[in-house]
Amino acid sequence: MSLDQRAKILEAATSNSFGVKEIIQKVQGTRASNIVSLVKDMRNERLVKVQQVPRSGPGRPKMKIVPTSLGYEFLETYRRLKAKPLRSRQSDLERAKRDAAYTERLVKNGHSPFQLFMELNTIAYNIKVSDETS
Amino acid sequence: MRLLELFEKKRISYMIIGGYALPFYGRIRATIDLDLAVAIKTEEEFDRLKEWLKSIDFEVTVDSYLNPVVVALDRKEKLEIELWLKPDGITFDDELLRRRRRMELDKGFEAWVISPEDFIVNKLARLDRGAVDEQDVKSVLVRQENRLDKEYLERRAQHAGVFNILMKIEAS
Repeated sequence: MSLDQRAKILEAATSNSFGVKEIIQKVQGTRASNIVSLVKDMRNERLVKVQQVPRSGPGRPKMKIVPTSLGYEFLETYRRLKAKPLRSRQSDLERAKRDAAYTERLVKNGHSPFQLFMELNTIAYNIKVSDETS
Repeated sequence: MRLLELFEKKRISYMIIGGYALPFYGRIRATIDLDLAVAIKTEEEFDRLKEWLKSIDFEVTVDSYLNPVVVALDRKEKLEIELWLKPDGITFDDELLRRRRRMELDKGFEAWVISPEDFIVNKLARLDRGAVDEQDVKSVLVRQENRLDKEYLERRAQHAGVFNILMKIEAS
């Protein structure tokens, strides 16, 4: 299941003291059985843990889903990734189109792009080494 | 390429990702390090891999716990290899492994290379994604235009949270 759903569960668990039942209500648009199985996966991935809530009265103690430090890190990473805009300018992407067309012409003329890449890499590596030694 | 031959012999599930996979699908651009995705699920397997690499003359450094990367310096070939256990945006499942491709790297030597669709998602999901990564993606979209499995690409991009950025690059 998707990163989006994992993030929704972590968001819900971060802001409230929720058990699985409340998380199912909060994460709409997904079947309850899928949420239950996802929470289980997330426990195995160490993104969340289950904590017992102390209860004064009778009955079974309530269990709440709590994000782990890895879960918090995941959520922060997810938010940063979501917020990241396009880094290229139009001219960068135009250049990429030309590079792709050039590579395609090489293939049509019987060249191996990987062999050419390895030759280019050898040159780049030699420059790097000579820079480091000089 | 010594490590790839050893992975083949040991039947370790791996695939080439990043710059070394790019010339097969997109443009040609120099890159120094080799990135490999390795399907390792348990901590025991991870520890065994590290020990094995050390035993065959690799210098091993382990990076972040959230996204473990083993940087293996091949003392013989003087090549730095990054082994990604959880490559950005990639879910190591059967479908992904089925879609990786067998490519010839040298005469008589073939290796597994990430599929073009997963290459795109992996590049876009990088946390440190820059203009170069987006150019790489654009070059793959142009060169593979009618050969990409659009349904699979969009599904994986949605899953990795990079669908919108993919749409922007496609439209540019």
